[in-house]
Amino acid sequence: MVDNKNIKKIIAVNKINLSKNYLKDAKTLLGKAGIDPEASRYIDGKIVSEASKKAYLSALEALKALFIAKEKIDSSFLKKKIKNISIYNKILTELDIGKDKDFLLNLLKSVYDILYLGNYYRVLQDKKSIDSGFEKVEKIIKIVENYVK
Amino acid sequence: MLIYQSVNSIGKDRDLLKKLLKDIYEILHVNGYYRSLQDKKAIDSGFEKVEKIIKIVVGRIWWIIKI
Repeated sequence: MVDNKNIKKIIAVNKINLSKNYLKDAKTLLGKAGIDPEASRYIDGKIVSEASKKAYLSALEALKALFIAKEKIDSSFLKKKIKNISIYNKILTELDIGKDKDFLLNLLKSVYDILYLGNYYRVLQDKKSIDSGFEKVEKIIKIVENYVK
Repeated sequence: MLIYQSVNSIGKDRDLLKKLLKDIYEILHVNGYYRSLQDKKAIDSGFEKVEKIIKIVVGRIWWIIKI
């Protein structure tokens, strides 16, 4: 017999796995963009844009896993593909996770600015910025994993 | 005339300068200035690119002075 708490845990673990898969796909895609070492930037803007979008979605999926684990969202939220950062910010500020809350809020802002606005919308191809954005997504996943276990 | 020609024939440096300028605009002006981006690596990268531009331009100026 699987109780409600276990179901939520299973869903959260699935979400974190989905988030990891998104990030893995994004990294594979970014590897195909090619690097211009002289200007320290990725060559193919279209690939950079797609990879950044995937990495951003990966961060959002990881946060969804945290929200499920902390029982802040229901199944209707999971079915929608919500990209609006203010909703995630609002739920994050309501969470009781100590200093990790501010850390996650800062990471989410950076990820949104670099990967979503910079790389996805404005096709910023600077290598160090993109790599930093990807690192921050990894950090988000790592923090969330501690709460999902 | 010689100076005019040397400024206009910057060769492969033109493409590099254009790329660097685009990145600097996006990182420092759009993200850093307008959106208050505080990511250290991104901002440092923007500053590094400004240094690269200065290096290229200084190299050009010295070349013109030598002429």
